[in-house]
This record gives sequence, structure tokens and C-alpha cells, in this order.
Amino acid sequence: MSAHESPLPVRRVPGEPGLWVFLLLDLLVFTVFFGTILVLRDRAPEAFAAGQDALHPALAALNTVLLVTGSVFVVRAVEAARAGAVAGVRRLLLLGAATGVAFIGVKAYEYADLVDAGHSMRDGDFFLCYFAFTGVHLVHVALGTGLLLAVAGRARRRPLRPEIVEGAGAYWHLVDLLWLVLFPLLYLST
Amino acid sequence: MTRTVLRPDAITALWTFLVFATALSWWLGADHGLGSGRAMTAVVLAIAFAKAWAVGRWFMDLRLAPRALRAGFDLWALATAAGLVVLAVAGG
Repeated sequence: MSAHESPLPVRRVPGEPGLWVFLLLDLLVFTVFFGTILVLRDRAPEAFAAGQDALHPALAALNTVLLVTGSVFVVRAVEAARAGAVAGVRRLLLLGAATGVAFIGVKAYEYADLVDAGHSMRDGDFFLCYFAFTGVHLVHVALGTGLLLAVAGRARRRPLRPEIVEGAGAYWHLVDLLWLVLFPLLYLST
Repeated sequence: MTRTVLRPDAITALWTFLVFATALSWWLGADHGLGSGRAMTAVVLAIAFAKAWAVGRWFMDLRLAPRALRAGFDLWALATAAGLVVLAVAGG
């Protein structure tokens, strides 16, 4: 045990075990996306580089910080649920959801800017990858945000089993994890 | 077996690592004359998977999960990172 950790009993799957089947399948689907980006980039490196030049890595970095910060709120909500701190769970889940809403706002601005510049999914393989894969990821962010709000709503009415908060948290963290890999593949692979 | 919770200072340390690593990736991803595009892509990918693995292990609590799930995630991170680095360096 490290100095940063304190003990509790038992080793088990965090959240509901069935959820992990879905999470692992999602992970595999995105793994195919990651490989697809690099295979298509290898076929047209100049077009990919030109496409990346049109993107705004600062906005993507901001969105990375938003998701990572949301993860901090969510992991603290899980710890609060385990400790039975109902008010803390709700507040932390709402803060986590706020970072999801902010992510969606930044992404919407980025999409609008690119569309204004004349880019779309039909604008070559790079923008097909960009809009399709970030779009699928954005749906995940929206679902994760909705899940955090739904669990926060339930926490207002009664104390929740920690497994409910753990499950919502695991989904949120997966969305964070997938973005951490999409970010360099789409924005930084020079 | 022992189950553990993350203390607040560990959560803060992980957040700091993730933000710092993102900034480092961004800096490396821009052209600073530190190497070829493909080699730098490999370095940036390795950083990305270190971040993803840390999120899975500590934020998703996989460090507390049964051995099969924990090992499966570790294997995914390692194999996917290696596969993507090979694709980035050697081409698809």
C-alpha cells in the first residue's frame, strides 16, 4: 500500500459488473478508431497535416483539462458515496456534469468554426475521421453528463448505493480516457 | 486482499500529472526540431497511453479490480500503445 492510499476491505469490480462488458466493448470500438486514423494518415500524410493545421489544439487542450477536472470531481463523488456523504455526492456530481457541459460548448464552437471555414465530413479522410470520431466521442460526453445529472438527481431524494455512483463514475472516466488518446492522434500527430 | 481509497493529495497529484503531460504533448506535437514527425508521434502516443493507463488504474479503480480485469486493461493499454506506435513509425 502506498503512502497515498488508505485501507478498506475487499477486492471487486467497481460499480455493476455488467457495466464493464459495455465499457470494454466501447474501449475496443475506439481502439479500431485509433488504428484507422493512423492507417489513413499513412495513405495521405500531406492531406492529414493540412487538415491538422486547420484545427485548434488550444481548444482541444482546454477540453482535455475540462474532462480531467471533471474526473477529479467524479472520483471525489465516489469517495463521498462510499463515506455516506449524501450532500457531497450531489454537489460533486453536479460539478462533474458542469465540466461535461463546458466540453460540449467548446466542441460546438470548434465545429462551427471549422464548418464556417468550409470543412465537412466530405472534405477528405482527415475530416471524415475528425468529425466522425470526435462526434461519437461527443455523444459519449453527452451521455456521461446526463448520467452524472441523473445520479445527482437521485442523490437528492435518498442516499445511493456506492455502486451506482461508481458505475456512473467508471463511464465518465472511460470518456476521459478515450479523449486522452484521440487528442494527440487528431491534433498533435505531425 | 486489500481495497484502498485515493486520498485527496493523490487525486491532486494525478490531476497535475495529467495536465502537465497534456501540456508536454502539445509542446512536443508542435514542431520544435526535436526529431522527425513519426518519431515525435510515437513519443506523444506513449505519453497519451501513460495518461490513459493512469486514468484507468486510479480514477476507474481498476487497481482494486479482480486480477483478470486489471490484467486485461493493462494488456489493452500496452498492446494498443505498441500497435499504434508501430503504425506511426513504420506506416500502416
